Amino acid sequence: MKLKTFKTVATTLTASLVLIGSAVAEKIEIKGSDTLGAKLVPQLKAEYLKANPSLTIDILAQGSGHAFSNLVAGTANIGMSSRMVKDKELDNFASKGKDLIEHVAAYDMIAVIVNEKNPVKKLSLKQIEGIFTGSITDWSEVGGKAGAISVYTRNTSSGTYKSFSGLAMSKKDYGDKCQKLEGNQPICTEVSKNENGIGYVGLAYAKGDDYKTVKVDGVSPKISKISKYPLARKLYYYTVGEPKGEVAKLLTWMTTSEAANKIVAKIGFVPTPVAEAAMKKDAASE
Amino acid sequence: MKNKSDLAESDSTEEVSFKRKRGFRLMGLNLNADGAVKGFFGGNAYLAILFLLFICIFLFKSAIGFIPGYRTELAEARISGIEAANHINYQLVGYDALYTKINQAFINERRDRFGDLETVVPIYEELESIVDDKLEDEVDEYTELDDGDKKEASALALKESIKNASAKLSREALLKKIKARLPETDTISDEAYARALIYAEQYALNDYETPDEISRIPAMINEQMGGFYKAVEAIKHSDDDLRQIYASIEKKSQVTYRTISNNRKNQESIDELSKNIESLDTDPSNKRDSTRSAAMTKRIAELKPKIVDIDTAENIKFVYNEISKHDAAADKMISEFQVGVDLLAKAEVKTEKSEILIKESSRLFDELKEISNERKSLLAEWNHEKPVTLWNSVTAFFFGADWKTGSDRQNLYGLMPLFTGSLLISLVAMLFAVPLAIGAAIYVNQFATKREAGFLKPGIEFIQAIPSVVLGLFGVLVVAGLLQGLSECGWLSWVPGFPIQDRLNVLLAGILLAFMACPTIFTLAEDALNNVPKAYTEASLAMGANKLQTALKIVVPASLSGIVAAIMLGFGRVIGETMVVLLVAGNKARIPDLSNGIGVIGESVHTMTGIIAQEYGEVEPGVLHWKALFMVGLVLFLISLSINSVCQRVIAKRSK
Repeated sequence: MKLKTFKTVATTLTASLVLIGSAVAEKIEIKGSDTLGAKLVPQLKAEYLKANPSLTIDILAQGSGHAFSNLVAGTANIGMSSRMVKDKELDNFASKGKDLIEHVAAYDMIAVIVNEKNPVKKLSLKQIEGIFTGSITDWSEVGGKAGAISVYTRNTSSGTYKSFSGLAMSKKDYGDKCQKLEGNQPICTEVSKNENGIGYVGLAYAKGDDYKTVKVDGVSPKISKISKYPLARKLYYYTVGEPKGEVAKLLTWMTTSEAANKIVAKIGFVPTPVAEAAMKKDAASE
Repeated sequence: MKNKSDLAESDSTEEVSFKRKRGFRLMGLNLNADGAVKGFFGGNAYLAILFLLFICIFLFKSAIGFIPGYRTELAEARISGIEAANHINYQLVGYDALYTKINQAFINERRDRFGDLETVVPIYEELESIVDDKLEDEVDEYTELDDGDKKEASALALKESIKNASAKLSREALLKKIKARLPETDTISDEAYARALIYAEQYALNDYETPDEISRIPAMINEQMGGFYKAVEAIKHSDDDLRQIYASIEKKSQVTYRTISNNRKNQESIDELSKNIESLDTDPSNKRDSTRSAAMTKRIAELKPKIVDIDTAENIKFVYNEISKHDAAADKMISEFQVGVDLLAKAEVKTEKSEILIKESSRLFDELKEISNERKSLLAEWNHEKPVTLWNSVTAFFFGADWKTGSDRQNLYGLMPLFTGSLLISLVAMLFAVPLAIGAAIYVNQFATKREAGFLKPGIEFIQAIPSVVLGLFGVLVVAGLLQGLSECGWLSWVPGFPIQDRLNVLLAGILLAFMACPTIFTLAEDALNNVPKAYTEASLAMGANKLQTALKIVVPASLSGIVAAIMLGFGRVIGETMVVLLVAGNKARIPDLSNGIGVIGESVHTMTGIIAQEYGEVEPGVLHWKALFMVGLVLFLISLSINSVCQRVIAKRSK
């Protein structure tokens, strides 16, 4: 069901096998979203361990919901989430007498992708809304070559599914012709093999063979355009109470250090300092 | 002779060893080694039954809360007026489907007539992307400069480099790109190219702002389209009033709905938290945990102000007021649409494709009229106080046409799209699997030589050992492409549903599942054929029938009940399969469009098993969505159970 999870588990396993050789001093468990946990956090971990070889870090990426269930149960030190915590989940923390603290991990942009052969280069937000709610059904209506549009979306339990409907579809319902796929990669695969396909993925997946991103309202999803791009969102780390000791050190390193930011940008997310600087600059110029 | 006596002797010694052993007697039970072994085996058998019971209880317990829970949500939707909004929305969705057809016809016609002018836009966009990709640094540099001579010089330089960069893209290559979009284009006129270049320069100099002229070009062309354009304009705005009514009802009812359901959920949370605090207080074994109850009290204090008073009566009055305007708006939509359709009939249409689309839309227009009348009478009868019964909630689940979860409007749990999807895939799978597996079984059992059977039988049975996730991935990565390629071959276009549009579809899932069901059907059918008494075959052969006649007229009919049971168990296997359908069925939660006839096999569908696997992951336990998934699981369980029990009856009948 979750191939990426499997991959992550596999890499984590191999990584931890390598680590067994070194002395085990402290263990940090990070669980939750696969948007963060599939690529970014494992690479951050590898970099961080170079400087702190005695540390053990376990990563398990099964979806944002797992971040909160594990934090409540005390089986994770850090939770990763591509959405904010829900009310119901806050109740659970309250009944255990725990306090939840939010940390911004990075900014993400949701890229709208179409097949490489598709001549359409830009779409307005309104057109995107029309396509995903099902009122626009043919590419010729948005300036493309005539052909029925095939719409690919994430499944309903994904954080991105919800974020996208909020950002791009004014919270309207998805049309009933959408095909719901199991993750970012399957959407890329289908769009790359279907000339009339359209889908959305995290920026980390936006570059690939046989498919390309379109400009949304005239802005392309590039890190330099974060303040203008309409489909940008935040990703989060969560902890129970203010982090202490090794966890605090790791979190500060992951969110602020130069080396970590480089990795964040390399994977295809926007480092928090960069995003915030861009937004401040934009606010000042207006 | 000697041998025989030896045997007798050994028999008698064995008898001695089986002499009854003396064991412990405990509470009237004789506990010895034999009894323990017997008890162990018996216990294992009963454990399986116990486990089954446990699953049944768990399924029922988790699912049962769904019906009353769904009833509450439906009642809230009714009181808040969402139902009324839905009635209007049905008409608007119908309108959208119609408008998109007419718009496509219009665009097609427009491209045919005003190709050259229309090429300016795509040429401009090609040039724009050259600016984006190759000249970003230069443009940024220019934008950073302050106004003055330096900036003007830089502007000239920038224009020059745009021209040079654009010139690198040869006219042939450009034409090819434009053709991908406007297939009718033959040449690119110098005029169009020059215009596009000017716009591209404006784009670069104006900080990536698309010039307004670009959006004005289509408008210019539209003006020249005459009657056709007027028709499209009339239709385009015919729904404005209705849409406005919809929007205002939707807005008001959403506020009511969300407030009511949030109030209910918050109240539930508060109740649960207070219950927890109470149990903490009263439980003597638990030392009073002050931090926990303090946190819970804090959370309750947070939640309490979230419960807000809402005047539903006032809100619903507003909804009724809007509904009173509905009929006029709906009539207006239809009459204005009619004006457009009449204009369309008079307008000159040159291309065949547009004509087909227009014909289709006039058929759809009749449907829209019907929908509108139907919804009008439903709205006239609509009453927000009409109670929602448990039975309503049951039918809404079993016969509901929409499965919509994770919605910001209203979650709908209708089984129909999932059930029809599962059924359709299973039927297609059986269509392939039955002849294959039964044919193979007859061949292996009746005609194959011993050597042949020796590798055929284990070979086919080995298929069962392939993990379904491997088969699913194989389907996505290999078979899907092959099937689509095949469907695009000209000589296969007579096959219904070809060429297929969706790569992941019913046919693909059916083929893969047929492959999975084959070993099940094959093994059981082969067993059934094997069980036909030898005397039947021998008698038939002795009467002079040949091998083929014997097989088809004697052996197969004699084992028919077993074969039927094999087919049914194969069906049970297919309908319960999860991983393969999740990966290859396309997961489109929509009732397949049966008006296409057999062509429906080219569509994507969602399945009962797929939805559980897909949505279970992040649903919080205990919420209505979670229970709905268990209801689907329960339905699946009951289907499999009934298939199995019917099979057992069929087999029992045969052995009589």
